[in-house]
Amino acid sequence: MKKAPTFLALLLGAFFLAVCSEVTQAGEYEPGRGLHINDDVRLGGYSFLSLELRDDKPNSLELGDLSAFLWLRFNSDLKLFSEFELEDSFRIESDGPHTGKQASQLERLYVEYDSASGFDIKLGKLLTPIGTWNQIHAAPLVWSTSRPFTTRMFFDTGITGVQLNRTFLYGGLDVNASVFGQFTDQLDEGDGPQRIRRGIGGRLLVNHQEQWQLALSYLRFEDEMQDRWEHVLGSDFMYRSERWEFSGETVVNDPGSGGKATWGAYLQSVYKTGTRIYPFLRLEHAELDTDSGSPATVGFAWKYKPNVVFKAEIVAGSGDLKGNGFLSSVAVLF
Amino acid sequence: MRSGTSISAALFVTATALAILSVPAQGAGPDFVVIVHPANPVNTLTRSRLERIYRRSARFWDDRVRVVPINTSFGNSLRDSFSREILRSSPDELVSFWNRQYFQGVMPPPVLKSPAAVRAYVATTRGAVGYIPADLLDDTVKVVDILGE
Repeated sequence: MKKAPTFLALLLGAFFLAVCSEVTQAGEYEPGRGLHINDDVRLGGYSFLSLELRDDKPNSLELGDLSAFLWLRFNSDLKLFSEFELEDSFRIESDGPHTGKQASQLERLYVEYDSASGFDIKLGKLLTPIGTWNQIHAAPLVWSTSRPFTTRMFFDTGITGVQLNRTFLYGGLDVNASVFGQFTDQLDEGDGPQRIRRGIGGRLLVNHQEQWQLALSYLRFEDEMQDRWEHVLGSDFMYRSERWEFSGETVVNDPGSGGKATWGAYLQSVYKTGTRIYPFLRLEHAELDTDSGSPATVGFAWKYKPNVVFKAEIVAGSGDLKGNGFLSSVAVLF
Repeated sequence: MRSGTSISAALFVTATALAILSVPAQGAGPDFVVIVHPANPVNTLTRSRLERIYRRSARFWDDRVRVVPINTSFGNSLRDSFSREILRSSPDELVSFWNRQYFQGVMPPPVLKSPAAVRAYVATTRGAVGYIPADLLDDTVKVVDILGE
């Protein structure tokens, strides 16, 4: 917790530099690609500033996740990647400023061995490979300020363990198959509704030249919060054309005889106007244990710079999970 | 004689077809040739293989040497031509792609500021691959033909 003010000051400085910088120089700081210390060490990160005017929460202006990456290459086959995050760092609400919980979290810390055999192995704390959103959830990389319930309410978003990947060509398609598992305690626990104690799963992704992709994911895990084993089955897709991008995910969590199955699904379309403005529409439905809801989100993202995105959206829907209101943010990839 | 004419015609058609399909790559921008280290046994690549190399999904040559793809600077017309013809993506789409990869710990190909620097790097790095204007070719590097998809 004591690290928070220093970290906050550093990240605010980097935020300002990233927004203002016009210079791209190899060997130094490159906006959106981090601080290139040398060929083997790079520092980076992201952050966002958001304005939320929601029906179910006090109005707020928040400096959101402050995230720092460290990329370290030991040799051509072995590297380390870490992401340290300061969550909910500073917030001004209708009744005045709040410092937030300022919880620091080790989001990711893994070593990766990439062998010429076509396999690569990651060992450490990883993002759970279910769906696409969870694996690229950083604010500058996604179109909306709000995050779909489907991508965070049905499984622990991080695992501490091992992931074995194999990428190969099949019939002109890029296929990525991975198996993963957690066999030890979580390195740094998240604050989602699930907490994985042990688990094993897999993901199969088929990609055609970044034009479309289709994936299936499965996870069998012991939920520490519920003290039971649960199945998670996920599917996701993406299709890009010259003018449109369509994507979607479904996730089902089934605890078997131990409880009620819960699920969520969303569909999202993004229109490429030919400028840097990208209108989007997302429809979602989520069924949790006690609550359910169908939020619809419409808005736009303006890619002011390759690493700086302004977003504005309206959320309107029915049910308990709607979170209706207006959200806007600026997100920066350092 | 008739047989000789037929063979000549067949050879002409084949040569014309090869000339159309092979490098230098043609497009709206400047022409480029794809180069590798002279010791690299590869002589031809398909466009899709080269695309996977530059997107870092193909990471090793057939002889298990690690591929080191090299780019020229962002905004360079040669890079624009290469991105359009080989990667078939606009610069903005590629930025989004590399933003996602960067978040996942995968770095984009290193950038060298000039085609001459690319040639010099490829000439001294066993697994390197790059692209340069055809008029910069010399015998320190080897040209790889791009044949088909």
